[in-house]
Amino acid sequence: MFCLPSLLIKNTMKYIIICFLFEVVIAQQPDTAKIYPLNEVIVIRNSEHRDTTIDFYKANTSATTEEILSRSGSVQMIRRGNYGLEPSIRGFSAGQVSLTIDGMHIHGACTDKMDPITIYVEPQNLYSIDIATGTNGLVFGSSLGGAVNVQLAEPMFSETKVSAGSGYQSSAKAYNGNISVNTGTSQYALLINGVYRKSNNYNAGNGATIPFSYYEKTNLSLAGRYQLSENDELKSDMLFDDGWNIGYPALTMDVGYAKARIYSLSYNFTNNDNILSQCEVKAYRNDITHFMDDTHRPSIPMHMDMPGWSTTYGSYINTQFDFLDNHLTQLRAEFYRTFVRAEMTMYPPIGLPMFMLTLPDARRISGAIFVKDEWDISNDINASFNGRLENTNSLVTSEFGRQQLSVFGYHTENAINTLLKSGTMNLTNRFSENINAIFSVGYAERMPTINESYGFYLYNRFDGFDYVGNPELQNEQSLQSEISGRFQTEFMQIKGTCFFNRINNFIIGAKDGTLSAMTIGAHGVKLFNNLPFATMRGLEFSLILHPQDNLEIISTTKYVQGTDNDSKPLQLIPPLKNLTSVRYRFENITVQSELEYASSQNSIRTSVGEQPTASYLLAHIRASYILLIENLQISLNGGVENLFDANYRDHLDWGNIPRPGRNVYISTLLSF
Amino acid sequence: MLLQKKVFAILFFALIVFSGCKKEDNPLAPVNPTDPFAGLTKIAEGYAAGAATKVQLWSKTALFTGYNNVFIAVLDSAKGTLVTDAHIHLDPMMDMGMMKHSAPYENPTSTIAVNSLFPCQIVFLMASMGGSWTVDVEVHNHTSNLEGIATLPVTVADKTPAILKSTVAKNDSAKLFISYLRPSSLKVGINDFEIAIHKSMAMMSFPFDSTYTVVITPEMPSMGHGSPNNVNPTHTANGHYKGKVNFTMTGDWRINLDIYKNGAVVDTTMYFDVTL
Ligand SMILES: [Cu+2]
Repeated sequence: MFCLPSLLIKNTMKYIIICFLFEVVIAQQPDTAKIYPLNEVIVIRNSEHRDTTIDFYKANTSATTEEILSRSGSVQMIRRGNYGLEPSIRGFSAGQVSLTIDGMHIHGACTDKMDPITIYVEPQNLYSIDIATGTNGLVFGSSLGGAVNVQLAEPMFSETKVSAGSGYQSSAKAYNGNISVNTGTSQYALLINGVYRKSNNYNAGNGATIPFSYYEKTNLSLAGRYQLSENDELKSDMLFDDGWNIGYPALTMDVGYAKARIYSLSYNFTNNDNILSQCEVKAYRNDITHFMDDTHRPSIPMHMDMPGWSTTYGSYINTQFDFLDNHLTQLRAEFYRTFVRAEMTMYPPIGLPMFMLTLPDARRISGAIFVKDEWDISNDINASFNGRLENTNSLVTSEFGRQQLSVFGYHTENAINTLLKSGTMNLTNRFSENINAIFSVGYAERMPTINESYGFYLYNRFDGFDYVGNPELQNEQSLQSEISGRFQTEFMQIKGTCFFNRINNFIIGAKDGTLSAMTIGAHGVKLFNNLPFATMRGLEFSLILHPQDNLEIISTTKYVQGTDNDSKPLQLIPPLKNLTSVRYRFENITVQSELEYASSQNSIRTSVGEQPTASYLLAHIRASYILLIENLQISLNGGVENLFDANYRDHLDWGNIPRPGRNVYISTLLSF
Repeated sequence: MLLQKKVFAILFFALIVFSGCKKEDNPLAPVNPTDPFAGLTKIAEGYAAGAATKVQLWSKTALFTGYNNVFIAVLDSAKGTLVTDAHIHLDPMMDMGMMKHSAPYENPTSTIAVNSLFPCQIVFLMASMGGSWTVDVEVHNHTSNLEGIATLPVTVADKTPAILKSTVAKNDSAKLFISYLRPSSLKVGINDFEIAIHKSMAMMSFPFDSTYTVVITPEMPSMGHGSPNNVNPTHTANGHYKGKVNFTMTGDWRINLDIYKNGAVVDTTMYFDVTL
């Protein structure tokens, strides 16, 4: 919505909805793993262009959803290992960003954030990733930093298709295999996807092997659709993700076993002649199990078991109305309930095991309504308004959990009830054929996360402190504005965006020197606290050159600055980054070379021991080749990442662990 | 599975039958809620000849080194009924052959029995291994106005971890006994913490002392961390000091005690080990 003329927006929106419901066959174009149609959602809302750099990731079956995410729009990944990367949007992360799969809320079961939910969707099973910045993500949750919604692939009616592929990556000696079967009549359709991945310890630039960077996993998904009539259908999704022996080199523990079970059932109605043009009702449930493991680590002071569990169930109804001419109205109501428990049992060499609840049987119930209206005021001016009201009720349900927190003087017998009010307004103006601009303002509130409210001695390896939750935290409130302008001709496009956020009651850990650390070796204890305010501001700039049909040059630059109320830098703020790619297509072969640059980051939060990060420049080369033999399509992908084997780390990487060095990858995908 | 279910069913049935039988065998089994002896064990008994009463000493558990809550029952020798109005005075004594010593104690606070018994407290300083303990109970039966002394031999066992510590004060060389009055159960969270401080006067008299300042610092010895927001015990009455101790997790905890008097260090080496 930031870059397209108003009419186009509306049309595209409609088009997307149609896509979504009717499964237009775009997804079946060659060279992709059926993900890009709805990538337009990314394009429309958040990014300046259809990011063709991503296409390679989509085609490369070795890539994970995390790798695709790290290439897209405004997302940067916080990295604690070679797996389980946490998306951050423009410097916002964790509770400030809402992560959903098909609109379903899923709560991690790990106290150390090893399990962002994006790991549960494999690219083979990915239909699109919707990335919204700031308050544009309110449809998915009360978040102030944006939203990432991962849309699962849907089975196709009247189609039978089998594809199988495998890939290899040299840096981690990693391989993967995947198989996908779609079968469908005009009335029902079934899609089965299975993926297996195994990755060994990867090599950093200059050859050093990074211990505890291995992982292994399987992912199985089953999706079914049943057409009830011309206008409505039932749909069901089941997702089984199992990971084991997942190393986290930047943390003190690894994952022994992690399991996700995600189920949903939905009813979809669509009729473009109706006032109610679309309606989706969904019920879902998911269970996450997470067992950390320190038994492979040398010289640990004490063995610990740290299991965690989360269960979320909920439902939502999402509707689209055509009440008035030139208006498109979306109404969404949702309810969900989350329960989280995480335990820690420590086994001293002498004496009894020690037990505590790190996430003390917390349950949170949320009910929300969301309204959005898009209004074409004139041919050149489009306005959109949205608002979200969410009521959440959080409670520590176990006596044990309450007693623990009472030690800190917190009374948690009563539930915390809070009403979150958020809204945003966007105005798009087309000044001429070539120039348009978007202005947007928004306000959003977010509740503290369960970790922030009730966490009990959560060790944070980033600053080496034990964190204790604070049930008395205030909600974070963000006022934000964004201006974006675009100039476009047939052969080029330039876009610039500038954004500003002021976050009141910014939640951050504050050291309490009177408390003694629980974790052996920790520097002390921090309590979650509200800072009076913090600000985030930044620029994004992109240039797309399209001098001829088969040549495309894309350059994106992003920069964020985050400071607290004392003008001190916030932690984990990415430095200036630029990604420039040149893509050339010759018949069935496409070649792309990329230069990835990150400046050094010296705006660091010294009070938490954050380290400056040196700049880096990386070169990547990728190629893909597609062969069609009658009905059989063979897609070959390969490339070299970090061509010059640079030894580098990104500023958002924890623990000074260098990233993979030169990585040669190859993958094949056969489909018929 | 089926077998397991069957076994369970049989066990369950047996349990019902068994508990049923037990009831028949012992018609007194459903405990009278006002039964003064409910939950108590008789430790010793003897005659206070002059008072024409039988004197019994009851306790919830066997006696141990440290602070014991005991109950004195006074029975009219003739009628066999419980005397509920009497003046009771204790005098515990340890006979080690070469020497004798007494122990700190707290007489019943009232001459009127509580639920027919006289609650009182004795701090046994050592186990019976090193000698033999007796508790002299001096009874003045207010109903009959007769007086007499019963000598009750008792057995005291050591307790681990120790809940009684002694020290020679650094400031004035006073010999102190610090008893930890364990709450019935410790839990993760906030717990009552109570100690009693008695001073030894030539080992024959142990008056309480209310003039100390006590600082408690819980820690987990295996990890080296403590817990926040503990409340240091302060004197309430009779040498008892009450405060709050907090535990953040289960396991073995050590409650360190630093004792001061008028700003001078008395002892900083003492601790009580507890488990939860
Ligand atoms: Cu974990």
